[in-house]
Amino acid sequence: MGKKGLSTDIKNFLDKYFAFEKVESPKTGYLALEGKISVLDKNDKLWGHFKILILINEAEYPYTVPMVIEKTQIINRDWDFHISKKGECCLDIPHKLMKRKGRGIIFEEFYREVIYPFFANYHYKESTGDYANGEYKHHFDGIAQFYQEEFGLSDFKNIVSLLETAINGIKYHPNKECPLCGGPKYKKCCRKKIYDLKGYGLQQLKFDLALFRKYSPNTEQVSN
Amino acid sequence: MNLFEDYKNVIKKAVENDPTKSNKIYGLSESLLESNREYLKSLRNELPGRELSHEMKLFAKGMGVPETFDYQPLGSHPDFVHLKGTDLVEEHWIISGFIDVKRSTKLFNNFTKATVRLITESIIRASIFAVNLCGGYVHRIQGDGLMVYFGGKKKEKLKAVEDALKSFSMISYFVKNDLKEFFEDNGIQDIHTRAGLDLGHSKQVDWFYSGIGESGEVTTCSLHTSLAPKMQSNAKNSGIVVGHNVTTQLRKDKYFEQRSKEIHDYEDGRKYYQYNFDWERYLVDNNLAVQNDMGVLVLTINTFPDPNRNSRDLYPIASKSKPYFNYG
Repeated sequence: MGKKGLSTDIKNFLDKYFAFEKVESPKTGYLALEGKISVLDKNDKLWGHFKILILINEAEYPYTVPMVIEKTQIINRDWDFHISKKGECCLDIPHKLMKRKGRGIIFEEFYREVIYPFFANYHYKESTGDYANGEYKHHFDGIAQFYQEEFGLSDFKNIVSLLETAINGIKYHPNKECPLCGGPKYKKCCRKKIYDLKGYGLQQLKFDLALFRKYSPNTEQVSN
Repeated sequence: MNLFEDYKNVIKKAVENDPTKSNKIYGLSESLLESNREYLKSLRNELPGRELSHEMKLFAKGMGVPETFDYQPLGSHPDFVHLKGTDLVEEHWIISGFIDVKRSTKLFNNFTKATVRLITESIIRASIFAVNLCGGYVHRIQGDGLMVYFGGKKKEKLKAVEDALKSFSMISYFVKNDLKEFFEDNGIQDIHTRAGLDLGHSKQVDWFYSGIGESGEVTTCSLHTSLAPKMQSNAKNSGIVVGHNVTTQLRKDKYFEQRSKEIHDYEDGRKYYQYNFDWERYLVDNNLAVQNDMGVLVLTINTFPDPNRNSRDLYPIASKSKPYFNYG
């Protein structure tokens, strides 16, 4: 789709969200939007405002994840608030973002479903002490937490096997015993997990595999 | 903060207590109508009068208007009241505006005329408040509409243009955002405002007294006063149409979309054009409204967090996010 689809989507966004405008991009190849997010709750009560910069890769759109930088410095540059020293916001676990990227995003939907809730959640944490839906731990611990919550997996050896199967495209007989977890039928247990894992993209799976191997060094590589 | 909350609540109560719907089969008895009239009479007292509500005071303060502002008397513009009963004529610029509620006659199909009267009065009172808040003068009430002037001898022209646009934007917001959906839920489809605004420069406007004795009014004779209601009738649903003279004052193209057909042909090769005004963008840019996650406008002038906010109401939006840290 590229630039044409992006310009249509951005026009639609700017025609609806008036506090944003296109600005000169600080990064070559990226379209830049700057504006103000005003966080309102379901009763239209105001919680606060943030000035933000959004960078969108023009060549990759819609198969991309926009970068969001908080410019007002309201959010403490502390990793407990999931923000870098430069103000780059960690909007979600990369797996979920990669899944959106793989499907292709519509920018307005991404703003509504990912960007806006991130800033609403900051206020929620400020008010209650916790994020509304919890948070992922930092770095590898967060990835391990994701596998636990999303797939119920806590055995790193099993995770490595699943990742290798997904990455290498290994096929198993659907009605025979699952070679990955020992369940009665492969199609009834790990096959669905393999399908879901593939949705996160090869790059993310390889990254995860390296990490899980690192933290579980005795795992043997599954051969094709 | 909901600036028009009190007006909206009165309309809601009037509609919810209207006896028409619950008595469609057996018809309305005189005693039922009488009891409803008594109810509406007391409900009318809940409409904000000269004393502003807390939200209205906050809004006025945010706009730099005294909390105790006085409503200007209807009729003669105070700067030209001395023309009353005279043959004098004065040239002075003015912005003329017309706004009314379309499809409001549909209200009579669903409610008693007493309910319709209170609905109409609530909208008119809210509109009069918005006009006065922005320094305008209501010249005439026409059923469910207003004829309004903005500007005067001690006013700056650009400021008056901005005030007129703000005022009409607020009224449009009230009907579109606070009332339209409620009416639709109650069987009244597509209630909306339409508005027209134009500026006549001093050489284009005569102020004079029109009429005989007490049967007259101080008014304007200007092409641009005459064009404003034509623009109003050309406006889209919830739209505001303005004349070229308004756009040249503001000099911000992003708010104005020229309509293909001119509003006036001078028949000497010149044409006078009309423009759709993007009032929602204007309210946001002027810090009179913010937008929620869905892009819906919420009128507010307060830049500080609402003291009555509750995290329970933020949860549905916040819980869509589960952050992760992976930098440095």
